[in-house]
Amino acid sequence: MKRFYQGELENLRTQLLVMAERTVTNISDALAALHGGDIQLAERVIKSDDVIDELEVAIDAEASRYIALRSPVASDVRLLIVIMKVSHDLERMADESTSISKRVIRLMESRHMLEMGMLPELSLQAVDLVREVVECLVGDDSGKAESLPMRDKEIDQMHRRNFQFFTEKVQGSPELASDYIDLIFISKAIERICDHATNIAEEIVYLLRGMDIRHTEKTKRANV
Amino acid sequence: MPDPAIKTAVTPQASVTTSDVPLRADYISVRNFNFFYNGVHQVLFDLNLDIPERQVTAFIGPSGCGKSTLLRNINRMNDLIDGIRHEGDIFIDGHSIFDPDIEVISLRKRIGMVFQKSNPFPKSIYENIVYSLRVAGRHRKSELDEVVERSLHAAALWDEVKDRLHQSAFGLSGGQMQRLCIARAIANQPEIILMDEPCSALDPIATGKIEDLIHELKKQFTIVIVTHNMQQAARVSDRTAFFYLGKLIEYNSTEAIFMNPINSQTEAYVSGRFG
Amino acid sequence: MSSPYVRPPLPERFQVAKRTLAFDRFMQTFIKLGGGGIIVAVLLIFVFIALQVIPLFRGARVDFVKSVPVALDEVVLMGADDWGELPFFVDASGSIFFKDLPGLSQPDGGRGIFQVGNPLPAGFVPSVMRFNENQKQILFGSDDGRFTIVPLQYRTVFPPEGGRRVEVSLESFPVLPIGQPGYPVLDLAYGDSGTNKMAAAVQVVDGSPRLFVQTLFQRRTLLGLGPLTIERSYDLTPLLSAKPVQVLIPFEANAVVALSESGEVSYFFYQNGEFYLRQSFTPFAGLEDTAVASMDYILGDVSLMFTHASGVMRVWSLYRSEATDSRIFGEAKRFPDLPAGADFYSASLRNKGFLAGTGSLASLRYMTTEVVRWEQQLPFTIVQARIAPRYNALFFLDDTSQLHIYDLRDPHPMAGWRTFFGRIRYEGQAHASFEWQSTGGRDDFERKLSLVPLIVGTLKGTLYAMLFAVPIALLGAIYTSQFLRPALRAYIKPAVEIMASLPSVVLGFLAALWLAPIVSNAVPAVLTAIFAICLSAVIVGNVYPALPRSVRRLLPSGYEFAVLVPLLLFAGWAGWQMGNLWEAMFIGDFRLWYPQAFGLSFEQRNAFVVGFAMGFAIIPIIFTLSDDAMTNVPDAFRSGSLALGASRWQTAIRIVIPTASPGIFSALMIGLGRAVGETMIVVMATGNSPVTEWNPFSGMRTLSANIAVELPEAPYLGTLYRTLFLSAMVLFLMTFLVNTLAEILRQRLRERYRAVE
Repeated sequence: MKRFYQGELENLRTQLLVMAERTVTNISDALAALHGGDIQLAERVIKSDDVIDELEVAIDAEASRYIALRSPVASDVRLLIVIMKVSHDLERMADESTSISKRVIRLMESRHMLEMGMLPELSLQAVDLVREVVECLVGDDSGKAESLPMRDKEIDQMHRRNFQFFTEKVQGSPELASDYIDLIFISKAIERICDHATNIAEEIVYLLRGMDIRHTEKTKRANV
Repeated sequence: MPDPAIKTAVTPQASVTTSDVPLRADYISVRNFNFFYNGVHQVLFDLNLDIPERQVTAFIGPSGCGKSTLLRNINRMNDLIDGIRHEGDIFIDGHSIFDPDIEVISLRKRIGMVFQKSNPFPKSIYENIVYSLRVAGRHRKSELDEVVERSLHAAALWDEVKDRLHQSAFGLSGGQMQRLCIARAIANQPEIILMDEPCSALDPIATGKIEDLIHELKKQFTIVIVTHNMQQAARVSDRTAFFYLGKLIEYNSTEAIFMNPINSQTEAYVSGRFG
Repeated sequence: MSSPYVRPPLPERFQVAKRTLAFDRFMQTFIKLGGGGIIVAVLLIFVFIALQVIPLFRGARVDFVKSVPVALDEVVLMGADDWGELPFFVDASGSIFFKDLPGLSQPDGGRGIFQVGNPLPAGFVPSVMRFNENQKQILFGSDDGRFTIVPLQYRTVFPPEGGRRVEVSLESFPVLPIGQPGYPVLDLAYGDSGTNKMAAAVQVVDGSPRLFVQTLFQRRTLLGLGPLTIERSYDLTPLLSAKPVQVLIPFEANAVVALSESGEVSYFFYQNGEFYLRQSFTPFAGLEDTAVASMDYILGDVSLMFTHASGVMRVWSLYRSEATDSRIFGEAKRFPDLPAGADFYSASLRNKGFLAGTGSLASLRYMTTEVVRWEQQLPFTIVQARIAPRYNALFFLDDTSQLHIYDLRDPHPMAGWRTFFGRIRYEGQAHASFEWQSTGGRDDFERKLSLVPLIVGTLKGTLYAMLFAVPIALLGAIYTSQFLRPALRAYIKPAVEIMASLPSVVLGFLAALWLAPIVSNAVPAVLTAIFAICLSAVIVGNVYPALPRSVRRLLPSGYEFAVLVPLLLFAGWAGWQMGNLWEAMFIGDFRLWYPQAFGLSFEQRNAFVVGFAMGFAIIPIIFTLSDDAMTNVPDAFRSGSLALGASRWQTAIRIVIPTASPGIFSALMIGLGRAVGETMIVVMATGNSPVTEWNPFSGMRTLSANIAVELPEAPYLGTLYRTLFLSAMVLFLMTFLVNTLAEILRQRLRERYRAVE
């Protein structure tokens, strides 16, 4: 039986997916801006962050209204919790991509040639991870979602190597220190984005299976 | 405390209008209404509220708060009780229902009512539905057939009973019976439907069906529902009135009542911490 | 079970007292016994009644007791005393011998065969002998045209040595001439009603038989009876169309019945000193040979039993013919054929039974019901037969002068399905009919025990009572339960219930002594008043809603009666006056007009009055039960209907009454049961005439009233006694049937209108 207010929940989910798509776009745009040195793209990412923020607010309001008036239970209540958490994660991811974009603009303005270390590879991995998480969200794929947290180890590794690499660069060429510090922060932001993506994957598993896999063997990360 | 004027994300669903006349926000208007049993025992105190047209308005409140009494005053069912008295007035579409020139029978024809306990008559499904037509002296078969089909469709019962229209209504399940009562109430195409705890005797599935039905019916009818089930009030109503000890404590949009009630008694009641 | 673990005893707070359990068990058994006991009690009542009734439907039982030799060469006539203990035998010479037979099962008495003097004077050579069993007279006709009568005087004596003996003596009677002197008398009959005395003889004068009748006269003087003298002699031969062979005179001595050789029967009626031929008929007119083999009276001398040589048996009875307005014979009964004409015949002195037969076949038959009670081929040739006067034995004399005594047990010879439920043409009636008349003024009275008039009376009383009570009770119940203010209902209902406690004898008394005269004096007024009340109620009902709302508002709903009741009273009064008026104008006196107009009788105590009175007795029951039924209709139904815009009346008619119909139906059935079984009102107010008609202005007799009226008079275990039990059983079965049907119907209604729980 489909209740008359079921549509509200679906709307909410659709809104979340829209937000997820926008977030993925922002992330990939931010990283594309980083590697392509595209300031316009970076600016666009910064601008569109407002839309994502609004979406988060709307999703929160609608979800709490839904909880108050529709007294959801079971998968509905998981969906609502997950929606709220995921929207929060997405908002944070969008924020990180905004901060990447800001740093990209600054780097572009300093016009130094910089070594990128493992950033290109990290970016590829990150975009890939985020896309896959969103695919899991869209396709309700808990199996794949469960496997995603493991990839975070690799990404953490890359970030640590970037960190070492850029730290050495900062020590090696002090005149470029601020730029390399920006790159460290970018690497850190990417790493944060992937953490949020991992969280979303875990939440997807919780949503679909009602099982909390956080901080368990399956997702234990190497550095924790 | 959050800001009471919280902005709601979703506005109440706009009713489907069938004419260009704007819907009245005070379709049923209760003014300074006091009500007494046995002449002296006051059960309703100075009530004032406007019930908007083609929306669902829920009356909630603990037992004995007067919500049913008010509901039964709207179609003057309380007239049957000895020793009642009222002060103030109730207007429907601007006309007082206590106007001596109003025939109470014709008033009741304008107002369908659904009771707490489903009360199909000991007749066939068909005869139950056409009862209001028959008592009005309308017996033309084609008209009755049409009304039966329309009402059952409207009550989402047609597919379940179309093959046994002439069997006893008592063969139906509880939820089906209550939907039959709704079909019966709307057979004469009233303007208002009063529902007095229509789901209190039903299981959740049947309750869900009735709630969906109410959601559908509000496109066409002004609905007032009394319920003890706060989730139900929250789910089906657009506006909610909270009564306590015969007084109207708070009357607002359902979202406001359930998410951010102004009155602390309302807050306590809707959150289940009452008493 | 073998676990070493021992459960600690259950804490006291979990234990149940043995007393509680025992009491619980006791009450369970007690209640079961009680319920079973009720069923058993009802069954036992049924069984008891059935045991009382069953003997009615048994046939006669005839058992051989003994054979006694009669040491006589030829027995011409045989008879017995009232006790059957001293039968007599007459030989050809006219000597009368008595045989001492004290009790059927006792050894022969010490007196053996003995004679008590010779009653016939010298020179009187008997040519014909007849036994007039009713009067215990032996008639002798001589071969020289004289006759005499020997009355047997039986009496019981209690000799000093103990026991009891029947003694006999012969009375004297003068020898009187009859007919032509010197010619032998062929047949002789004598009748004595006390005032009329009459003798008739068939005499062969010069080779041709003639019929002579003479009336006798005995003066009553201060010293006793004077000598018997011949008053007048008549020769009826000229009135006959054929040669007479047999003559009979009924005991009233007011007629002569003569049978001719050709089988024609002539019925002469004696009036004002003359004989008139009232009727000639041929009983076997339909047969080729119309000759009659035997003709005899059945007890009461109203019916004649004829047999034909072929064995055909018919009974003709006197009845009042509408065509001639006189009592004539008509064929009344047909019996199964005998193998040949009856050789011997004996009528019972107790009832309308008779014993007839031919050869060795004896057949005991009952006239009223046309049934054969008993029939058997006996192992001897029967010459003479007699039913013992007390209808407790049969005497057969065979051709070897052996007397065979049979024990007869037939306590209820007239009982049978036909008697109780069939149409029977009773003696004196032109048509078969249903009649109840259990006792008459005379011993030879033919009992009429048809239950049909009683059943009809019961149904009639019930019908009129229900016609009166049901509309009032039901409409009253509808009003009080659906329209009246509940506050007032709280007064009305107990008031009506008090009516139910009125003893029915009081109602009957009022109906018989107060209401019946009033109603019978003013039937049109009563009818018009009733009509006017109904009409005015309908008019008010139609006019009231048309009144302006401002007028109607003056009367709060539920108080309408305040206006209606005075109006109805006025309408009743006006109707009464008008009824009297139009009675005076158009029909004069209803009591005289009604029988003329409809050909039906008008009685003061009639079904109409009983309808009123019994209606009063059942109104409270129907009212209060149906009021309860309607009040108990779930309020949800009423509210539902009213909320759909139905008026209170529509709600009552369309919803409340159908839903309450099982209860209303029960109320009607209980009322019906009360009406069917009601006794006192009917006994007092109906006149108790058992008529089979539905005329509202005649009385009736119901089964219950009949039991009440007749049972004190009914001899214990007699036919009437058992018949009353049969009528009780019929009543029982009627109510059982009605209740069963009602219960089935009620269950169906209940299933249909069952309220949703």
